Amino acid sequence: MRLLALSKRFELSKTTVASSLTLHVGIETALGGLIGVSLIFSPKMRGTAVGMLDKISGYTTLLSLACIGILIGTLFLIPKVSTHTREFLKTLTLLGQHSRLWMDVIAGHILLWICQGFAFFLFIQSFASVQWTNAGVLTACFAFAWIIGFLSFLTPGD
Amino acid sequence: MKTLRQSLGYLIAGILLYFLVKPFGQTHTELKDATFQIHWGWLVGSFGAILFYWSAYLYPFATLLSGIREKHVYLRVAFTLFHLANITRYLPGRI
Repeated sequence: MRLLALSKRFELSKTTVASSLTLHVGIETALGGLIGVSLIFSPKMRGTAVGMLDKISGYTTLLSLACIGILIGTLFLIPKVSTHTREFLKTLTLLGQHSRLWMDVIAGHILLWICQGFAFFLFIQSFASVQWTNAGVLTACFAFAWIIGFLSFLTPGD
Repeated sequence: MKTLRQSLGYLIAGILLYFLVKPFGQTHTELKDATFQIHWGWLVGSFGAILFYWSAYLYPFATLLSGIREKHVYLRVAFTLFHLANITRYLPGRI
């Protein structure tokens, strides 16, 4: 309701705002996931990253797939929700033609992740001396931890 | 009635402030004899980077909003919408 009220105030449709927010969070999560998974290529952190990924058992994967299935089912089977989903997909198709926009958004998100990683590196630097060459690995560690926290259903988020 | 509401407001704010400050006091007591040193320059730099992050965070959202609406949307509009109606707060992991 708050979203609807604010959208009307700025002469924006509810679908426009909801689509923008969904895409914004989706791109942020996907890029964060990519940066986090890049830890596997780091000789220092490879063991830890693989160990954490190994803990994701077959049962967890099955449960995740069931949750995704229920979510997709809800999106297309409930009439009121499916109308919004179709509108969102239509918007996504229209946006597909604007390559400059996608480049701007993706570049912006990559820079934001770098900025977050840099802030994390500086934070650690204030307590213990860390070499500047480790900044990349720390950025990936931060993204990895953020993604696990964000996608986890049980742990509290920020 | 207004005075009563005002007093109640101050009381709630005071209680919240107490619970907000209390953990800092506990941490201070626990770390009083700790041997590590805080480099305030790096710490302030880190907070500066976080501040910059939250300021720039709206840019991709405003770009998407302008693209979908096919009309320029001001950053202040995106700011109001994002912080007052942020759906990510209700997504998994943000409980």
